[in-house]
Amino acid sequence: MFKSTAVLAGLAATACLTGTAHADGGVDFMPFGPGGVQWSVSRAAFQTPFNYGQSTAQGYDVPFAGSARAGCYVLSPMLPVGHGDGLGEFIADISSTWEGEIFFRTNPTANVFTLQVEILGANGALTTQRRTVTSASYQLEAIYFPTPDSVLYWGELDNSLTQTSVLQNFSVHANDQIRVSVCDLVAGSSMQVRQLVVRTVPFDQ
Amino acid sequence: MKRLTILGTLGLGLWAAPASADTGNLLVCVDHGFALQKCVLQDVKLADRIVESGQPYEAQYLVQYDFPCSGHSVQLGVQSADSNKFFVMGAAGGLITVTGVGELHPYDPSPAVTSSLTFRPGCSLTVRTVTTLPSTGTAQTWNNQAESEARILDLSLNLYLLAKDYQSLSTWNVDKLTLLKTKLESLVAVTPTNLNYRVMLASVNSALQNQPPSATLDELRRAGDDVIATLRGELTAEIAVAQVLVDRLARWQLAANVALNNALGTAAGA
Repeated sequence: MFKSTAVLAGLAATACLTGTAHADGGVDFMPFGPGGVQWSVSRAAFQTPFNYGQSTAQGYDVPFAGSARAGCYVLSPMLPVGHGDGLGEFIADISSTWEGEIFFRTNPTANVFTLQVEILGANGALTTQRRTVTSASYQLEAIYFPTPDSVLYWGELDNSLTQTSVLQNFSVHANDQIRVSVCDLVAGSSMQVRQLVVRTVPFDQ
Repeated sequence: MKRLTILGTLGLGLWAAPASADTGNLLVCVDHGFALQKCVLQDVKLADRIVESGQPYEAQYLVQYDFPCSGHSVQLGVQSADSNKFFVMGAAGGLITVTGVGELHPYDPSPAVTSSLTFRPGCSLTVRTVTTLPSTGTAQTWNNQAESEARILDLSLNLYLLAKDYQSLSTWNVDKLTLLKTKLESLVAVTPTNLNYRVMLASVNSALQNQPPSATLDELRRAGDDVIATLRGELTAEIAVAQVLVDRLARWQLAANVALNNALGTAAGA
């Protein structure tokens, strides 16, 4: 009984992670460039395996907290690459705030969150690429000087398709499947995830 | 139901504008739920070509289709021999016309590209009906053939009527004699062993020279009967050819050719 329940739970989890969403269910796309595709994954198709935040009309809101939020807390479904070998980019449509102390002599930036791209190849091999987004991408305002070597900052980041300061590039191959995620939000920060946007274009069309 | 099917089958063969049935979705894709990919256009015969008496003719195909589809832009259409036309993406009840001498099939100029594109869920391509008509060029060709056959039939009838009146050779004018002489010369050329043709040709030549025939009355009668039978056979054959042409125009609902109809009416009464 336990074993079968575990298997079903595993299947359900797999279905959840690889689940399909319909055009009106959070995944839409539009042609992009010659033969390319721009996928837009919105709230209805977000996979949120942790209870760090809540869904709102705008997206998925992770509130300010004094502790870190480990793991990938907003994931897209697997998105298929229909075209041949090419390039991809992941743009997280987000707003975020961060507050933290920077010791500018030894470590001039602080890590805030991570963008992750998983690529499942046609041969079944899964590769994961991560990009850490630091405080350098935020609009910072110094609010306090705790020590002569440090500054307490408060920062804002608004990243979108029209105002892109953070993105992650990657390579794709025919019949790959791609899942993008936002992960590992540090203490002292908040984030609203509006959309996860993935663009892929073939080298030749 | 069976009767309807039989009638439908007969209709396809007999009526001018046979329309094929709904094809179902011709665009088969891998459905990811939120998108369709790896699409392949199915190859089916949408319409037969026009073949009359073993001869292919150019057809005009009227294709009514539904192509509710968005996403990547793709060029898909129909093709007949070297002619093709493309569907309009998003069309419902769209109509395109393509003219060609071959069967009508779906057409994808770049299957590899199509396979690499992405479409929204629900994208499909269905050909509702295909109506086959003779093209303008074919209709003109058939009309020319009818005109030509009308002249051939008239000539065949005239020759037959002349031959039937061979006993009045001496009263014919030069035109009539020359007409029959030319025909008899061709008969002799084709069948030089037929003495009757030679006897009749000699008699016509004598008449042209205002001389009495050199053959006996019996020889002349046998020759006349033989030539009449031959020309009657040729006339009957031409009537059959003309009837085929008249039937073809009627079957494809084209305007009847007046000259051929008149010639056929006259010949049939002979």
